[in-house]
Amino acid sequence: MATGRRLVVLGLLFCGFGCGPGTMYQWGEYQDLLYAAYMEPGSVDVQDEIGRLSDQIERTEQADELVPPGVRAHLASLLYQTGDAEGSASMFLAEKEAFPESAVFVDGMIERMKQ
Amino acid sequence: MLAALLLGGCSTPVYDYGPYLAHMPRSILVLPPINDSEEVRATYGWLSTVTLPLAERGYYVFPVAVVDELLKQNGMPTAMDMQTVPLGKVREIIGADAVLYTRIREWGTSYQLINSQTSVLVDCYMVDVDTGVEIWRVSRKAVYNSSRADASLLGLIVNAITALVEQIASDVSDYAADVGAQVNSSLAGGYDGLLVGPYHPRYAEDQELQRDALAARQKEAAENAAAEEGK
Repeated sequence: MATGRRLVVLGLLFCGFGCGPGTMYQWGEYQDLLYAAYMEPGSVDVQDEIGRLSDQIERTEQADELVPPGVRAHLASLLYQTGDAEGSASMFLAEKEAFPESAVFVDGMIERMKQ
Repeated sequence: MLAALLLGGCSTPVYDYGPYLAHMPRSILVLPPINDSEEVRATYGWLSTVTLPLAERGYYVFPVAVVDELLKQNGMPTAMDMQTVPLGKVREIIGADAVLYTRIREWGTSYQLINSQTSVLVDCYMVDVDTGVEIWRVSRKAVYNSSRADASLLGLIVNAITALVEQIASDVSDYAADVGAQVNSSLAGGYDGLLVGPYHPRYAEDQELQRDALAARQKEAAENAAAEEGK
């Protein structure tokens, strides 16, 4: 209940400057999910979080809009946690393709996953 | 001379973006903040709302939760440990151009009978990874006051009820997260805010503007120094 309200408040707050036509990126639930996962660990089921972020990325790409920095890498890390190494690696590579600045980080993450 | 002093005295404050412009980053590694407040939730409350304003300003921001986890797995369990990570390691493992270090000095709500005040105060500085040069430093504070000043008795009663309702609804330190998000969104604003970054559509324009302003100030300073010497 408290988390629900929290998400609503944060959602409203961010939509003030985060979801409107004035932003470069489609933020969706990324920051709300970060907040919930940190504040009440276990309050968001990992599979549920994966589903939501995957949907969000898909919808954003279909609309030809921009996925924010780090969202694909965050999803990649969740996929790895659930044992989907292949899905994780391809999502990390998608982060690198969208943002070449992440190359060192992404290559290192993929390398460490193989060990 | 007097005119120059007067003008100098009235102008808006100027921030020296010289080092920032000389080491303009494309990517920023945000390290979890050191938390001096008594609110344990401040660290992650702050961390979960910092990506949006930095990215919207035009920078690549590394995924905060993934980095946090990676550093924890590498023997850095606390924010204090993480903030001592050598820049050489940052370059090797993350490949970031700049690191943002943050200290949360205030984060919380103080309740009185008929009002409450939530304040968040953070200090941030950013360092160029290749040279170790500090390129940016700011303090930001935001305050949310839920009091409604009203001297009448009815006003007091209404206020007391409002405060009570707000206190219940606010789930104790709830406001702080929103105020913290406000502080983070203000990092990009003001005369000393984050410069427009490479992914921003106004990047080229802003770089030219900033470089021109810097050159004008340097020229002025050189002229002043020459005038001093000529005396």
